[in-house]
Amino acid sequence: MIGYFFKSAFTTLKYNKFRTFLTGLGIFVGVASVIIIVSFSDSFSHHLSNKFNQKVTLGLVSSIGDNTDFTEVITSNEIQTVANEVRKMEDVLSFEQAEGSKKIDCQLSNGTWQYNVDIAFDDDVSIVDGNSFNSAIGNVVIAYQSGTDETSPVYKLGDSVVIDGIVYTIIGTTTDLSATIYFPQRLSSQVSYQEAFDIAAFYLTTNNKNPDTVNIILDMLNAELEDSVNFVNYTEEDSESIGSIFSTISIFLSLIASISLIVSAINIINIMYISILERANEIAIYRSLGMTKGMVVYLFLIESLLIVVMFALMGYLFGLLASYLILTIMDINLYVSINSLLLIVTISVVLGIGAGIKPAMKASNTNLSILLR
Amino acid sequence: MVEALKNINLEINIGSYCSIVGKSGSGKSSLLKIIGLLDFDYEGTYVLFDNQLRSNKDTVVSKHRRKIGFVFQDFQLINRYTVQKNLETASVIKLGYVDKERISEVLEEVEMSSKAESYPDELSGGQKQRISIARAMLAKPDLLIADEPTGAIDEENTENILELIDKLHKNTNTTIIIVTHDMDVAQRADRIIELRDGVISNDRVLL
Ligand SMILES: Nc1ncnc2c1ncn2[C@@H]1O[C@H](COP(=O)(O)OP(=O)(O)OP(=O)(O)O)[C@@H](O)[C@H]1O
Ligand SMILES: [Mg+2]
Repeated sequence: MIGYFFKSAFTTLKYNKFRTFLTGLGIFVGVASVIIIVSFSDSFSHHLSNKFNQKVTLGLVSSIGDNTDFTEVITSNEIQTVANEVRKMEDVLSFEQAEGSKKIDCQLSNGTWQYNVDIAFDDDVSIVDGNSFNSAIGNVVIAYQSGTDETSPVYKLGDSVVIDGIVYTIIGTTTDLSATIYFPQRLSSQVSYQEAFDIAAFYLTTNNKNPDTVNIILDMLNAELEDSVNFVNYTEEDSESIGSIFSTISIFLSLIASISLIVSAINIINIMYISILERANEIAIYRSLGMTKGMVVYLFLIESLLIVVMFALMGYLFGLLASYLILTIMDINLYVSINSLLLIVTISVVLGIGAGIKPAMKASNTNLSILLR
Repeated sequence: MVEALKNINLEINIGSYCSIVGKSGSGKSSLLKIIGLLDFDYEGTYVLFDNQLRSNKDTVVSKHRRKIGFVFQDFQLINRYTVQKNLETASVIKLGYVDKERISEVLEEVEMSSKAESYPDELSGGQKQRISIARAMLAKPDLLIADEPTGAIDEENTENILELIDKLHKNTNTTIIIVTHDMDVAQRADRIIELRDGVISNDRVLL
């Protein structure tokens, strides 16, 4: 019975094609505009906070007082030194693509060699001699240790290897049988240095927001400074406040957009009422045949839900597609949080039921006397 | 507050064939609405097949309506459905499923098998009324109620429709209550109840 009247509701909507279309159009436009606004604000917020978070700002603070002349505690040359260190890390970054076998120059205690080795990135190398990467900064590698043969290279702590023109110091050795040189993983992905720096602030960008990387740089900078003055990371606070500003804007825009959904809900209520007046006779016939009030409510609720769900779905897809196309032109990735999407689904179903329930109840109370005269 | 009926004290036997007659406005339809569970706006009691029913028991009332066949003066078919779909809808409501076999059976009985795929608008008044009788017979009702079933059709068709009702009464012993202002129509019943200004003015059994 429920299945039969579900089909029946569908037939009715098809029978009143044009009206169904007009009713649905409101829902379509409403949902599409909410989706577009939400996905725009989500995507922009995501885009900007990403962009913002990529740039870490390290600033100078003094524990002595506000009048500290920072030029006396650190010179731009000293910052330059740190910057160069960071730049070397960036070189390591570019090395990432070359993971695999590579011919390297080795200036070792037992001579200068050109030798083929495997390059690997691994933070957890088991060391037989020397240090692991934990505390090390700068251009460091861990190399395998081989025999003391005069005819092959022997890697020792403190020796240097040159890879793509950059000199690296061996800080530890392994007993691997293969000729492998290990680089610290953190260097493989994080640091890239941006040109701007001055006496008060030092900017750098990182691919991920790994605090370790930033701390390494902070340590390097602070090593150059007197104890009363320190570089600190300014970015953390800023990125948090940017996030919250955007979520506020996002909520506000969504609220405005949902007004259009409310308007289309009113539209549905209106049209359902007219439809019920027109079909009073039909409802009375159903009731006289023995259809319960509950079934009448179901029948009309299904009709309004079908309209809402069908057109909301179309609006949904259209909204996402339109946002995607426009954002792509603007070179921004489409990003919509699952929560926003679920919220919109919930809102449309609630709207469908909410707008349908009152007319459906009215339908179920249709007077049966109209059948006789 | 209009009083369409006053002091009605009426008992109708199961299996009987009653006609209700009276002038326009005498309360025939008002009485029929109460009998057919279409109107509960009255004082007093009405007992149908040993059940005293009120409007607030909708599921119970609906269940009883399924055992009543209605035939209306204006046919009351759903115009956007074909004859077949009209009957299928009635079948689903009354029986809970589409009983195709029974549908073709009743269509045959009213000699309308060839019009199953027609829309009501494509049928004559007499044909429409035959479809509505088919719909009323569909679930083998205990009670058939007809309000001026021949009021909107010509004489030739009137005879045809009345024969269908007679046949239903004879074959299945269904209780029949028919409202008419036409004495010729009323004569076919075995009891004639006459209303005047909402009061029963005459009640006689025909032999
Ligand atoms: N819904 C209503 N509200 C108020 N009064 C009504 C209503 N329906 C009918 N009446 C009144 O009740 C009285 C009886 O009406 P009813 O419809 O029962 O007459 P009837 O015998 O069926 O007449 P007809 O032969 O014209 O169909 C009339 O005076 C009518 O005006
Ligand atoms: Mg009447």
